[in-house]
Amino acid sequence: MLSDVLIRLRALFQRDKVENELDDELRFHFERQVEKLVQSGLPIAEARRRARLEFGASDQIKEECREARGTHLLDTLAQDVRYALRTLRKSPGFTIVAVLTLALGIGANTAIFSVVQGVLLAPLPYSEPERLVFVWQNNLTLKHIISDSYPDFLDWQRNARSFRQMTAFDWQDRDLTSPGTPEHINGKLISSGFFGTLGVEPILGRDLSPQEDKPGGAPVVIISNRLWRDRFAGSTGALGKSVTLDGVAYTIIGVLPPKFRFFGDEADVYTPLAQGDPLIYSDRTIHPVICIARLEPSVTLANLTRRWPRPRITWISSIPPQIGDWERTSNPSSRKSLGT
Amino acid sequence: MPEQRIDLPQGTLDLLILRTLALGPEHGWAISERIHQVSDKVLQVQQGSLYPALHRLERRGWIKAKWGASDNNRRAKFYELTKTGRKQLETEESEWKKLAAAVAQVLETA
Repeated sequence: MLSDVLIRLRALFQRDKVENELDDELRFHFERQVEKLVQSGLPIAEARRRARLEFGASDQIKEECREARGTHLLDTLAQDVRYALRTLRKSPGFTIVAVLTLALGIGANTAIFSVVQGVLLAPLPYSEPERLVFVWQNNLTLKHIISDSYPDFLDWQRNARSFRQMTAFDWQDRDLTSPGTPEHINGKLISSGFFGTLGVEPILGRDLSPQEDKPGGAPVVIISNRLWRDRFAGSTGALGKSVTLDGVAYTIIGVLPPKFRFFGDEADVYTPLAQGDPLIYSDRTIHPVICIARLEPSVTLANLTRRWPRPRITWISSIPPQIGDWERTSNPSSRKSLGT
Repeated sequence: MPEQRIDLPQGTLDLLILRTLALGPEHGWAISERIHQVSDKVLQVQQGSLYPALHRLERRGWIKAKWGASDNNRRAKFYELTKTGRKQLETEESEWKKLAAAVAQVLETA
């Protein structure tokens, strides 16, 4: 009821005024009672004494009135809080330790939750990440290796029918010397259709094409959003300009959206994998690249492992869980490994 | 016992207060005096029950309070019946009469 709410609100926010009013009201009653007794012949001292006796404990009456007003619970809560504050003020050492402990606890919790939020709960910035898988050769001695040799990747890419798209990458740090001040940056070597496989659209330009991803192909690069803003002022004219990496000029063909990250780092430059060092990339015994594929819509992992024969080579297998960083990936790429 | 909610001590006091105020606004002391007089000095309302009851009735919206000058020119808190209070008085009065009649009947015949 409205009057109820109003009275309670008034009692809460104008506590002193309400208390004083109660005092006045009870005192008025007391005085009238004394008067009445005096009029009936009692001396004033006796009248006051009698009236006080009849009155009972005024504090109790006030308490009951407060209860009747219904703010009792909140009143006592407020009183307890005030008492607690007073006590804390008296022992500052204890207070400081308590506050620091709480602060540490809250801070640690927040930090952990932020990490969990960023790593596990935030969505991966690719489309349908559950359709992406790692593909690798099962190395019987080094079971935890999921990287492949480049020639193997090319073979699989040619023969794969269960995969809509297959792509590979490797890490490659670069020295960027122009434009702007020289900087040592993170980069990746990628095969054609890398961003298409992940389902990421460049905000400017396009993905790497198969024509460029060849030994001796045109040196082109797709740059990160950060690099675009830092070195090209975020202008649309950046396409066609070039960056010099390790002494070679690469033409910019695409710019990535902001906040794109892959495999734990935010690489700034993505150049064609096929143009990498042939000593490394044409050797079938060296396994530097990681292969990622997007499953055809109709394919499930179960019938995929059935279709690929497994004499010595397992195309898709699961990594034993004790390796730590990587989860079982007979399932689609684990969020943790792909997104961090 | 009738099925309506009638709390004996508390409800009866409320009823008496409402009835007293039906005659016009009064402050707390005057209410208790009036009840005392009209009941031929049988009923003496203690402050300990009167004021909590008044505050409760005010919260329920059956009476409202206003500060004013008393007959001896001192500041006092006056209470008066609201419209809902008047309706509540009617309800409680008729319930009380029914209760009283029923109890009397039981005492006569039993």
